[in-house]
Amino acid sequence: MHYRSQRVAYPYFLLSIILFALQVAFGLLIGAQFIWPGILSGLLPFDVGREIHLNTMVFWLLLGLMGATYYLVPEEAQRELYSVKIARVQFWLLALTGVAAVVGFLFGLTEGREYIEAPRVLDWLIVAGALMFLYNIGMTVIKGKGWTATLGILIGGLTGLSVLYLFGMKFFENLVLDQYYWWWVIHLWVEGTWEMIAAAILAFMLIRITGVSRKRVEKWLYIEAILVLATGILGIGHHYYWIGTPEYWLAIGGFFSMLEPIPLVLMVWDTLREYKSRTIKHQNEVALYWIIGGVVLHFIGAGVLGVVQTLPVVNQWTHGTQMTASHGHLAFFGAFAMLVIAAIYYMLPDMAGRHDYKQGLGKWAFWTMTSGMVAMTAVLLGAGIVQVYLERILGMAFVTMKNQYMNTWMLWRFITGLVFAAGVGMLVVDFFRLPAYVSHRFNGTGLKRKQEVKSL
Amino acid sequence: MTSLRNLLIAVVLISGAALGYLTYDSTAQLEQRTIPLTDEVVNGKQVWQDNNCINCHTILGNGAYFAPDLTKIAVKRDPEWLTRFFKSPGDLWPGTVMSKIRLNGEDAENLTAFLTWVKDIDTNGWPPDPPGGQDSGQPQDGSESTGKAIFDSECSVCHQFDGSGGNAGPDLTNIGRDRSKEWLKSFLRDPQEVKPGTVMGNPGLDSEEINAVTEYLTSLK
Ligand code: HEC
Ligand code: HEC
Ligand code: HEM
Ligand code: HEM
Ligand SMILES: [Fe+2]
Repeated sequence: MHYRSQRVAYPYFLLSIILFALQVAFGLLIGAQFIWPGILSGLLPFDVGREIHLNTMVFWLLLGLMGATYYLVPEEAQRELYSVKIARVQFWLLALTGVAAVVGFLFGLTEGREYIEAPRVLDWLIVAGALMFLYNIGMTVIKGKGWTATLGILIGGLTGLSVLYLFGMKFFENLVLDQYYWWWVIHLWVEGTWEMIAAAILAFMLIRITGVSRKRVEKWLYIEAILVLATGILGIGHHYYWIGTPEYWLAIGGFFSMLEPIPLVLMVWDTLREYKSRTIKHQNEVALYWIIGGVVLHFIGAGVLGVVQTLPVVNQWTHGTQMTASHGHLAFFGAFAMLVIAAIYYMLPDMAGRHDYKQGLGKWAFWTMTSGMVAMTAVLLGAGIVQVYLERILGMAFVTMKNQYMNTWMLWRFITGLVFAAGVGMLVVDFFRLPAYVSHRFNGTGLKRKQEVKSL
Repeated sequence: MTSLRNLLIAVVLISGAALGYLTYDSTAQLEQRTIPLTDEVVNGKQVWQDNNCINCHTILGNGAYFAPDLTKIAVKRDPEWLTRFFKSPGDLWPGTVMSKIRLNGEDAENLTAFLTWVKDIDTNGWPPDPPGGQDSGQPQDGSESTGKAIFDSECSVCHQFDGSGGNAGPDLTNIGRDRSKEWLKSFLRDPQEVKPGTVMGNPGLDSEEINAVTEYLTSLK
């Protein structure tokens, strides 16, 4: 059963894809500056490019997750969205806030804390947007036909995400406390609340794309959510080894974070099992590619590359090196970027009521991006090992290490980044070719069905 | 299903309560693990954030991997040098990527105060001493090889020696010909006194380290 109001998801997906392209463009720029520090360094110094790379990433992923939520909630709650108008006002509010933040970065306005650099005024606008979103979703469910496990875990995760953001807004006088609460945002987001949201959206799609019973899928959703939170909340300790916090965190963080891969393994196992026992042969193969590719790279990027550096005995050598960057890239890409892309590929055609679109380019985009990213993170891992050896074991100065031993590695990062970016180009082209409703203009009277894109 | 749901809620409550308690305790221990804050340090932290240093550097190991970690920078570089550097990095380090940063005197001093405060945070021993480097516990016999290790970690950033190193300062390959050991030792003890107005900061070495590095530098002559 479909609902007209599900179509409010479209502008969220559209902006999400545009910002993704922007994120990758800035990634290439700062990747180039690693090798040729002079490039655009007057106009767009590394730090500015990097904060735009990170903030557009957070923003496009959140927009994508919100779009997917708006698509999912009416279908789960079995009624139209509480208010299409709120969803649209919220969209414009967030879009303008995002533009303002990026323009501010270009002019040097920053809070100077990684990932959450947006200045205070904009923080409040983001909070306003989040409240509108939660209210809209909450009212839809309350007025709908009751809660499902998917809805509960999704909305729990979204509420947690919003509350945690508040801890990133304050100016802390003490650097130790600053980093302590900064990790509440970053770690408890990606290894707690975002993980819940992603698992719920994944369950929603799995039920529909494989035809496996809701009961079975949702049982595993619960188990995964329980394990994610049981290991992830105290697993935050793996960031409290060296920042001035007490020594007992070495034991707590090491223990709980070692267990964090368990739910991620389960997610792979469970998804493959549902796929094998599917009762329908779904036409939308590209969506399936992204779903399955996503759970696998989620496990490798977050689980494997995270866990190898999570014990204090290892982390004291690898902390804050290219190994961290390797893990950060594959984890964010596998866990969240691929999920948002999967949601777009599933939901846009679904919105238009047709999954029989031409899938060639989508598959090319999948393979190009995936191999580009895997290669890039492999290069970063190699670079990280060399860095750890020279800088942390032999004691060579960072600058000497970087200038004399990193250039070849960074060149390969750039080249693999170009491969990845080519895949992103295909994705963007394909996005505009996907069947979807074109009439998502905001004309104040609701979403009029003007014309459906014909098949291509 | 209901029991799974209840278990999920229990997990959130228990883990949340545990994190809450640990947060309380960690905050209470802050007094022993950091030295007291002053206005300069707090203002310096604001300067640190306003200038987005974290998006090039790491501090306490967190941040960007484009530039050196600054947790212990105030151990390596003396405060005068740091303050001068923040006012005009390019003068002290020709060609530095940081040259767009130009702080006024007050901001630069506060920033130095902040980084000086940071060096005393009890980080549970991070960063560890490099096992293959100068502080490896091997006897510091003032030999050339200790000297090489010191040079690689402390000086190669700015100086070339025998074909490798940076070029913020002069190439030291032939320094053994140009300067006597005595001159080098007193220069390294206090650069300002020997060469008033020099842009090289005090490297902060003890006399054994100075002997070792001097032996190494003069070994090529
Ligand atoms: C655009 C990137 C960038 C930004 C922003 C930046 N730095 Fe740097 N910084 C560097 C690089 C790179 C080096 C190493 C020297 C070089 O290669 O230019 C460096 C070197 C330094 C050094 C000297 C390190 C040594 O070994 O002596 C200090 C101290 C320093 N930075 C502090 C800061 C502070 C404080 C800020 C914020 C006000 C800051 N930097 C902002 C890139 C940056
Ligand atoms: C931050 C960059 C930097 C670092 C690190 C540094 N130097 Fe220098 N050094 C300079 C600069 C710049 C000069 C030129 C100073 C001048 O002429 O006023 C210099 C000058 C010198 C000179 C004097 C050369 C002469 O003939 O006048 C010697 C010797 C020297 N450095 C040795 C060392 C040693 C040994 C170390 C490591 C313990 C070291 N430097 C670390 C930047 C640095
Ligand atoms: C989807 C899940 C995950 C994402 C998106 C993710 C992302 C990241 C990112 C971006 C960083 C670097 C943060 C910074 O800028 O300083 C980081 C650090 C880290 N992550 Fe993850 N992560 C995930 C899951 C995990 C898991 C499951 C583990 C291990 C059990 C783990 C272990 C670590 C560790 C130990 C660090 C610190 C590395 C260091 O000391 O430099 N992560 N993570
Ligand atoms: C063309 C592709 C890309 C290139 C060349 C690139 C390049 C870079 C560079 C140079 C940095 C700074 C690393 C440092 O501080 O030393 C960075 C950081 C980061 N990028 Fe990318 N990036 C690309 C794509 C992506 C994608 C697709 C994602 C996620 C979906 C991503 C997520 C991140 C994250 C999380 C960090 C912070 C890592 C950390 O602090 O550990 N990047 N990227
Ligand atoms: Fe973490």
